[in-house]
Amino acid sequence: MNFDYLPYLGSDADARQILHDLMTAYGDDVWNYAFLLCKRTDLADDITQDTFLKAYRHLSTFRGQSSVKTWLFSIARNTAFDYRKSGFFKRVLLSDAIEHRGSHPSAEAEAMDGIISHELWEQVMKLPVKLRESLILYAHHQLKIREIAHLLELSEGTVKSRIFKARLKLTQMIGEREQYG
Amino acid sequence: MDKQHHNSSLLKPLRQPPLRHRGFDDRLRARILQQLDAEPARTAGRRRMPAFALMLAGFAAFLAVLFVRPEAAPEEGHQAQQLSTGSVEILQAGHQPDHVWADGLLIGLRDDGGAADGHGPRYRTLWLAPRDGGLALQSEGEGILIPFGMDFWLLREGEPGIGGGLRLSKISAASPRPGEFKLTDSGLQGEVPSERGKPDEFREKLVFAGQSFVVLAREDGDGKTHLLTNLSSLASGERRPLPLHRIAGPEADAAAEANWFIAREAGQWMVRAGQARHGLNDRAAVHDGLCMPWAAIVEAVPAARDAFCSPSGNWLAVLTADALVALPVDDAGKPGEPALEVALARQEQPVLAEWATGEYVDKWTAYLDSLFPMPDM
Repeated sequence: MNFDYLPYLGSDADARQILHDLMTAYGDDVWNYAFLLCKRTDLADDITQDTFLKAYRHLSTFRGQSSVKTWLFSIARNTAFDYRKSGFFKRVLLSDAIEHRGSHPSAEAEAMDGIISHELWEQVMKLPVKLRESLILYAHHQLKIREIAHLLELSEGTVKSRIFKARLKLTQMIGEREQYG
Repeated sequence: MDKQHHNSSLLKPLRQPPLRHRGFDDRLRARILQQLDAEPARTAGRRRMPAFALMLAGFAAFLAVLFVRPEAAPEEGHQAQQLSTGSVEILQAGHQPDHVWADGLLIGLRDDGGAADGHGPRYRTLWLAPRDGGLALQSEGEGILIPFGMDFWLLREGEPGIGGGLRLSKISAASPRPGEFKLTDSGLQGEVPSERGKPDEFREKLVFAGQSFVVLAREDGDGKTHLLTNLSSLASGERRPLPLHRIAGPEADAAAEANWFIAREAGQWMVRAGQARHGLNDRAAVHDGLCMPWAAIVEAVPAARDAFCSPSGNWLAVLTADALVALPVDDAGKPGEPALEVALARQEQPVLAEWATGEYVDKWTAYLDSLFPMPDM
């Protein structure tokens, strides 16, 4: 689906149809990105919903300075940060942190057990969010380093460094898992 | 090699989705649409001027006939003066401490002043943007810098006889090293029949650049013609002509049958053919048009010949015969005293005007600073 026309929308453009098309093309991408940020399916739903509604409301502001996908990711990221500031997300993070200090898996980890598609994803979801985000934008969403840097407002060097560290940490985690079962 | 292979194979499973089931499913899509239905219907287009503003614009267009600057109009004076085109004056009269300058203007100018001596046109780009609570000429450089998407294109004067005398480079905003696409005559052979002479017996000059579109004026033994094409086609040397409706609506195609040209008419780009006039659409010129009546601009700058309004309506750039003057505009839409003046050559005229808003003002400032560094003042 081609969205090259988006920066040049006329006043009579059908925003609802464009929203349909955006959801068809990028629904999965936005949801997966939201999920990797918050690690909760219900929150990923909410962030995805808000992302597409915000995009719908601000279609006319898209100037084509980035790709449509990166633009949507940027909205999703800001939305996730807004959630993070809210009390609800703080409670989720807090309970997550408490659970991780103990020997029991968190409720969230238990909930994820069985729905994760590949064991590598399980390891990735344990990475710190900064490393996880750069790695998944690169390895799953196939964004270029330049696009990731633009999205995260980081230098390309920092993005490369984070991806490198994420790989290194993943390798260590897999090694430990194989060694100790 | 093994390490690289290990790294790529390590991450390969991450290409599949993280969950076994689809997160974005029909249930969520329906939920979003349900939420949407609870909101008032809207169209996607950019905000249009209200009716009264359109009436004012109509009046401005009427006045504009008096001020029209057809591209390289033959009646234009040839009394090129030696002005100090690099000089910039910050005017205290326009300094308003409480005025918050927003938006940045990238303006591309072509100077035909050297034509009488057999020289080709000269191009330069100015970047005017807020700095330290005021407005400043942040960058100035040779060539026309054309923003499009994540990248910029830089069009410069080239060697005579090659590529119509134009040179085009594509520059990534992330990496300001020009990856040059030098135009050669190889792509032009099909366009200029051999009976009209060698392929390089013509010159081209840029008369308009907006988004991905460019309009070139070509002069050869048979006179002058105008060509609408896009940057990628120009870079390939193909110069594929595009129909005028791509930039100016379906009715503009009729103009292609006549001897059309593109001109500035008091604050707006206009495709003209005979008496017909067609304003440009958003695909070619974003934020094109005035934010106040032309009479108000002339009242503020009596020598005004053209003007550009910032998207926020916060400031105004006015072109006179020999200067670009920037003025703040207050909340009531009234222009203040000139705050900045950049000297222009007599034969300089705009070929590009692109505004940056919001976060892009700082991004473009940083980028242009690396591309066109200004000497310390």
